Amino acid sequence: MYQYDAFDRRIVEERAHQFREQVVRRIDGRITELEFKPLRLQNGLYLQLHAYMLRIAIPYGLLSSKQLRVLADVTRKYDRGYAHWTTRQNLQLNWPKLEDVPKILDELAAVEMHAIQTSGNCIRNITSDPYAGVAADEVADPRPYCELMRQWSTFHPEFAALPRKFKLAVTGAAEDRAAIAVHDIGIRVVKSDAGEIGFAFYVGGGQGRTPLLAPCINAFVPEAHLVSYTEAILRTYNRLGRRDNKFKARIKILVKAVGAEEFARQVEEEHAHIAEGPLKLAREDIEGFRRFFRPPMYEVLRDDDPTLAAALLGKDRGLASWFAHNVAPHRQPGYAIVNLSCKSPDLPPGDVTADQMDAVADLADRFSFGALVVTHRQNLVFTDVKKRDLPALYAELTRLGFATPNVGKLTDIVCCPGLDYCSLANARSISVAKQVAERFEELSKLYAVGELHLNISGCINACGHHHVGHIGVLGIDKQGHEFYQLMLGGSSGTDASLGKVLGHALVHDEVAPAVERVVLAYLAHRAGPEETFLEAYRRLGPAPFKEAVYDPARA
Amino acid sequence: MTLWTVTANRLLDGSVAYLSADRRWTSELARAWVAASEAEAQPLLAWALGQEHVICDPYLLELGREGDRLVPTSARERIRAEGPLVTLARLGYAPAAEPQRRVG
Ligand code: SF4
Repeated sequence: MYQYDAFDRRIVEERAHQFREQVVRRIDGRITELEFKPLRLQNGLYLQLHAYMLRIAIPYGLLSSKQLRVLADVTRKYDRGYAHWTTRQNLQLNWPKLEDVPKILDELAAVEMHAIQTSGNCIRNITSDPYAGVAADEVADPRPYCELMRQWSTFHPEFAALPRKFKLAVTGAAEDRAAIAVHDIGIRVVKSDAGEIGFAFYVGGGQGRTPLLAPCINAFVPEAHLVSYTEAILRTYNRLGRRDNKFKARIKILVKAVGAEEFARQVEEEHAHIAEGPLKLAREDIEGFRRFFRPPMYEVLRDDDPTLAAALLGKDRGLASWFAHNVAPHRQPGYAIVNLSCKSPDLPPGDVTADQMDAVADLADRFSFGALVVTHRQNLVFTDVKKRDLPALYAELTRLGFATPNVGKLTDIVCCPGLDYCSLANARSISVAKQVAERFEELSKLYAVGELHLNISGCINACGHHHVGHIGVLGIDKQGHEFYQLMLGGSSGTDASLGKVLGHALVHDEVAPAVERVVLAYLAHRAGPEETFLEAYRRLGPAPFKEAVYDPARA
Repeated sequence: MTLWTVTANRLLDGSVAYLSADRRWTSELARAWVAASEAEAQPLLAWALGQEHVICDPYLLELGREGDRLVPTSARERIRAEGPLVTLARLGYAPAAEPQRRVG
């Protein structure tokens, strides 16, 4: 993974030092809250319902075991012993005290971490495919490009005060595991017929109040122009994006207003000025970044590992079920990708304790070259596990509560903190997730349903990505009371689509039964077990699901 | 009948605070100073706005009464008063030392 050079180290340490001074000045009254707020937000520090919240950046979700141990340590020392993986592959602390935050930032800086680009109207922390570098369906590893873009975007003076926040995702694989269609810019690494690497640019997607899927504005930008073309997009947006209305300020509104074609034309015009300038990448530049992401020293192994094969046929059916649902194919023979489910019955979705973090760090050292990835579905991934080690790893993960064999299934719920923590929330989301999970705790019931993504957001800001859940739940406020809209048919994958509201809003305790009725309607109407929920919904439309939820007597 | 008080978050730890009758900040809604009308509460809000050295972002909060208890009228303020409703204690990672706020 990337290693900081002296410059990276200096800017991160300086930032921590500056923030320490700013906190002192706020506490002794030399600066007002109005002056302090933008400064703390630039360091990822929000004020939530009951406490401050610190959002720590995890660039493209990649962590070393050493970094994870420090995250565990600060979670234990300065917080209440648990933290939360976010849908942007970051980590949130829920209870830090103001005067402790500079200490946390110092400790993070010591392991090349920070909370920069996790808030404010800047280019946010870049997200990527959790299987990056090992996916069988990858054109090229997207992480060198992510790192390059991270360095270009960090403290970019021209883009420090954009009309609104700006989110980028990069994938290098055929299957979209990075939700690129719902980002301000989604970048897909592609190969031309001549074998040249380039990028397809999808611009103007997003969720929130106005959900939109990003149109492709350029199907092939040569590798050398990755940064210059992105800069041209940002410049065009910075110039034309609305600043008079916060709700119309995202790039998606601009692209929709002028049209993708016209927007692309303006970007090309801007790009013509800078394409051959200093932002043009030389082959050596890219090679330099690639070196940080070279594959680890894999052993030469058989792909059909006999130890694993015997264990899978053994008495422990749990292992077989976990292997079927939480383990994915690796491109290196004899290795596998392992998903650690952070969706157990005991913790809110995406929550993790400090002790668990320490234990996962030890497992990463033992089984996966000391690295792991946080996913936008709020789970963790070990990317490089020997197949013959899978039974041993399974036993350890089971002990820790990370082996629930539910990845991609209904109880692998994506869920924002909602009204239990978030000051912008309309309604609770964690408790809804818990009620749904309880109804599908029995694995046979869960497996009968197959692949089904449930996403829950506590408000229209859509941090729980409800628009792209196969089933989405959105918390709304009606005169101070919590209500929920149900949406069906969303997807953040390669076949991205936005969910549609099914009918009138429900009260809190109606949501889980309604989700169950939607699932039962799917089971009743699907063409066969091989037809997924999403496929069935797309074939059938909302009618049978609507009837099941709102008129169950007739359904 | 709607009642009013002033609420904010404490500067040092962001915790929820209510203005008490003796113009101090309390974590307990039961000890909050209560005004019978918004107009009566406004001068206290003005005073609270000058309290930036201890609190952030004060605002007026509507309350109701259930028997002799003060209760917030919105889900948001109920959760602010009670703390997260997720059962952290059951999971064994919420330190017992943390004050348990109660709706008064
Ligand atoms: S979706 Fe709304 S409630 Fe949920 S974390 Fe985001 S802002 Fe908060």
